[in-house]
Amino acid sequence: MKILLVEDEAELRNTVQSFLEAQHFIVESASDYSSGLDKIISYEYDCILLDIMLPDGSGMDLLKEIKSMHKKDPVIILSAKDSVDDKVSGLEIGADDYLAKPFHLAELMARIKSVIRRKNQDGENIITYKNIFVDPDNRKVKIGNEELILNRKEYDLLYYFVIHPEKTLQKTMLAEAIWGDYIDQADSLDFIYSQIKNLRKKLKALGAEADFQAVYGIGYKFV
Amino acid sequence: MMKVSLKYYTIKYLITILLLIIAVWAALFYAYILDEVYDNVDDGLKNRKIQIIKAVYLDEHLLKNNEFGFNEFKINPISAAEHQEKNKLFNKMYYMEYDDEEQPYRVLETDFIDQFGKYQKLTIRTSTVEEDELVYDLTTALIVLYLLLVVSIIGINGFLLHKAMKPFYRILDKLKKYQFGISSDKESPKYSIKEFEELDREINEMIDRNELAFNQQKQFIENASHELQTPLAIAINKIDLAIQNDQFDEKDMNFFTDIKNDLGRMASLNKSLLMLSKIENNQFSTLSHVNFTAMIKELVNSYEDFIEYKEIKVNLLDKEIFETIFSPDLANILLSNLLKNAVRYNHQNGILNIITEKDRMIFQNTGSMNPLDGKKIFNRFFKQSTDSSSTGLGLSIIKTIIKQYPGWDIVYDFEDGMHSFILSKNKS
Repeated sequence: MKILLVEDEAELRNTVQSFLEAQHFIVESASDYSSGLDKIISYEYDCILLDIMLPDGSGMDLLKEIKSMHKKDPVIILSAKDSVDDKVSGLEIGADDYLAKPFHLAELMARIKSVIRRKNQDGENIITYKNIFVDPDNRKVKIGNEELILNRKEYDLLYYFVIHPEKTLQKTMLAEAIWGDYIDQADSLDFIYSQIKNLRKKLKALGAEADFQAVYGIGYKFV
Repeated sequence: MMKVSLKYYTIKYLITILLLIIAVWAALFYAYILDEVYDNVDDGLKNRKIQIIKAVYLDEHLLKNNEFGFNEFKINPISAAEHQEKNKLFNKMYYMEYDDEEQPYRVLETDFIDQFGKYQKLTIRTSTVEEDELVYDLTTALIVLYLLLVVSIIGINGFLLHKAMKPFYRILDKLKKYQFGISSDKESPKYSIKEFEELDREINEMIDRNELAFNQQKQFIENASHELQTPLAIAINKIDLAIQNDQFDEKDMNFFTDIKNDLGRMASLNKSLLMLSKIENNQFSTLSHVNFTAMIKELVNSYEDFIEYKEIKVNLLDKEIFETIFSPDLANILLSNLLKNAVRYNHQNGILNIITEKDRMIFQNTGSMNPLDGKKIFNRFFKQSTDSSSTGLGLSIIKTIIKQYPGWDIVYDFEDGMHSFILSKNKS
């Protein structure tokens, strides 16, 4: 899962980033309004963490931009201001949650999981597709009753397919979601194929009822 | 045409003009002096004429003095018809026993009537040998004067130019050091010469105008790129949504994927342009200590799948740690661009050596069998390959980053089928 962190304070940014990376998130960061906007315009995130006070603009304006682009990325506002007015206006513009600084990293984690659950999983703790059960909080997968052991990328890939079942997922979107934003600079995304192949083998071995369907030249579909 | 400095240019003309003036002046002066001298000599001759005629009246023997003797005069009888009242003065050469040569003389011829009522012609001569010496002395004096004048003019000219043109050379120096977009020392010193003050002011104004135009242009590119980004992203998102929802059959799907790829290329081109403009605008000014050796290891890790898929063997050879004060963001862009380049233009099963030394970092990779054009590859939009997915800006971004750091350099080299990009710092 990919998270965008817009925060100008380097210390906090690094702490949050390494914490989230340890939790197997892919974290992209921006330190100001304009680079944040660049990222938001160009990519999709599972969650955006937004600081209100940025050196060259306000996080509120970024939030307005996100909404005007009809992006569905959930947003959590991180603010030093703990006033009711700010909370209300932030949530009214369309933020999904509001966290006042200083916050506990565990609380941040819980809130991120919660907004992602709402967005990707219809609020369910366990995502179910046919006989595949994915537990995002614990990063565990079960096929029927048997646990499927996956590495980080395989899990991320499967998660992405399971939250978008029966949809054609383009290689570029898959790559960006699992490898990070920088991958759009790679000339060929064919390397995704080898990951899919491995995952397919593991799924088959445990008798999963769903499989990847290649959509020629575009990407894959999980059916 | 040979270029000479201002100093020699003026001296060259001064010396020739002076030579001409002195020559004309010398000629006139010589003629005048000579005239004076002859006048003097003539006066002497006329005076002697009166004394000789007086002496003839006293001593008739003198009438027999028919040849030039030690008295340097002769008297010859003439007929009445030949008689003239006037004095005749002229130059004539006479043989002189003394040095067996003809020598110049000034001669006065006059007629008179002696005490016996006969007509006589009196010829008086005087040597003018010394006048030759006078001319000689005069010429020497003039040459010496000329040389003295030239030497002093060179001296004065040099001194004056040095003093007067000092601000000029300072302005010239300022212009030489001037770099676009980098504000130089705008503080003008006090000028005692009006023209230089004007020149300096005009140059400063011109620089300001140019910088303004340049900045406006940069701003325009940046704004245009920014503004383009949103509609591009929206178009891509819409296509994504349509593809995801399976609204098309396979043929349409491929068609829209192609459009999406083209839009994606446009977006990445746009992003690269924005990046260039940001680098040039110094928007990556936060510096910190960056360990390039560690950073490239991390990058190789994150590009692992990409590298593995191409089955490229990466050899990380750190002889020494390459570390410095740098913008961490720029260092990341720099190294990932170099790495991507080395992977992207590599062939399947290729080799990539990354060697770090104290002041150098070398990316050595296999790839095309022919060397690239080292002079052009860093130019914007230069594409050697027919690769349509390349923006042609990657290397130019690298070059632009390097330019922000004095003493840094990046060079391309091709040897034994290996393409090398050598990044170096602390170049003197």
